[in-house]
Amino acid sequence: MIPEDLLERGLISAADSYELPPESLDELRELLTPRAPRRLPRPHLSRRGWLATSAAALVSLIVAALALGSSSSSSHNSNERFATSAPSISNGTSVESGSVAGAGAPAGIPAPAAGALVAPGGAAGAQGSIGSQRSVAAPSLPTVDTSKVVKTGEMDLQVDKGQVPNILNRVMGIATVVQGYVSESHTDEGVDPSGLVTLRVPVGKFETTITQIRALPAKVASQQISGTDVTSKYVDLQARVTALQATRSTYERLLSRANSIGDILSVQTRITDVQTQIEQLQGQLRVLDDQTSYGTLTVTVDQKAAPAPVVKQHHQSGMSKAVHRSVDRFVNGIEAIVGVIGPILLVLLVVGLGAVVLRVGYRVVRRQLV
Amino acid sequence: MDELEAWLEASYPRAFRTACLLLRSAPDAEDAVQEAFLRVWRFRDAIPAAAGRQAWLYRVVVNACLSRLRGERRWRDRAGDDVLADLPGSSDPEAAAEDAALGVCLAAALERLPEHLRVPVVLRYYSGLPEKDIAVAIHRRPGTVKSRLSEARRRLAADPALADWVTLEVAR
Repeated sequence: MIPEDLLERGLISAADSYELPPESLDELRELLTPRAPRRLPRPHLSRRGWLATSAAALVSLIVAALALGSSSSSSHNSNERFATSAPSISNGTSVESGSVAGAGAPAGIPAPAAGALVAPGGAAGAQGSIGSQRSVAAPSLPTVDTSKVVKTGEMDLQVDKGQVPNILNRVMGIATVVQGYVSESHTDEGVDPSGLVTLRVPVGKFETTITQIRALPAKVASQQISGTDVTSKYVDLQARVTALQATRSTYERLLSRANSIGDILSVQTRITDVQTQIEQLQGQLRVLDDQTSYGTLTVTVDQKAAPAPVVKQHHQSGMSKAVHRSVDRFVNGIEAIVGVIGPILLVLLVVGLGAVVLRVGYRVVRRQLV
Repeated sequence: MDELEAWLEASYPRAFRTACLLLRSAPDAEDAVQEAFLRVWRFRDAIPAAAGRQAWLYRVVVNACLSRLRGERRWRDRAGDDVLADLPGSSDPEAAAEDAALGVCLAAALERLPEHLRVPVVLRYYSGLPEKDIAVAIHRRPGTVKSRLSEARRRLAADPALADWVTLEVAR
């Protein structure tokens, strides 16, 4: 294990490299000032965030316009439009445009009325029967699922004493059953044994795995599941790879035309740079592919805390209870008497002292008068 | 300025740097900590008594950082080493240089730690929170925190960026 002082030294050094923004404390004071009208928190959007938001708004507008256009035009047109737009939606995924076009309108666009379904080219007959079949069999529209979601989860299990290794083994067994694998495991022996297992399970069996783990003889102290949609990032990476590949092809054509050694070296350097970028992006795509194919589930197994000792209450007979009650009352009575005597003694003491003072004072005054 | 404001101001620098270590971005950390502190201020009536309020504050800060980390995986994509370029000076230049190099190596190794191990390590060894407070901050049992810290230290020791440092430290 890494020594603790080395870790502390390193973290302090790393943290000290971040300078406190000079105006941040002033901003904080302003936020916390109760007199000033409460300022709403900043939207926290960086320049990239603003660009992304603007792009999202633009895309939403286009989608809304398309949806309105498709609802006002004929179903034939809507089918054609989707057939041509499907490849750009799937963007290189395994969805084939033919199967989508044959299946009907895309999700989110209202389905045409049962009798209004007209085959491309206006053919009736056999195509018309298809339309009626569709109307009978409820218009369950196909969805084009191109989403890429990274699933992660954490579970904390509490087990009975001595059961930590057993439960850990069973958790690892579940990973094998669902065709996943154990990416790492760690156990602590000793007085309070515990263990930690990180499973990689196929995304399709992520929920099944959780259900199976929950069925183990262990108490689930906490569970946290999260899914991060990385579709936009994935699509962006793919687009960048395609663009870079096109650039590389251009350079390769230039290379074939280069005459001087200087030109060849210059173009070759560019090609190497582009190739490096392509490989980096492809590496990121592979990582995303892996993360979206296999969910990561971290399971921590701890021993249940020992229950607090229960004070056993003895059954008492009636006579015993009476004796106890009598003793209690006797003690209470003594306590009450002592409690009353205290103030009385105090009063007597004060009165006595007062009498002595008066008597002495009286004698002094009397002597002076005489 | 009341006592709570003074406490929040005093806690700000360490909370900010804790967020920097978790997010590896000063602007993101600033936003996350401001968001967290504003939240603390709004719910100031719910702040626990003096002993537990530091853990409570870090719980809010960690939540703000994690929601940013989970929103977009900036940790992996960020060229965070730039911010480590300007390391602070010291009266002993040799020691400062050594600490600076250690800081860079540790930051790189920390980047490779998964989130559930990175957070307790930063809270324990930078923010100085005891295990029970970390448990409160990350909604886990103290036993879980203990095993995560132990696992994190084991992984950091095995990290190639820190292997030489560990050997050197042990030799000393």
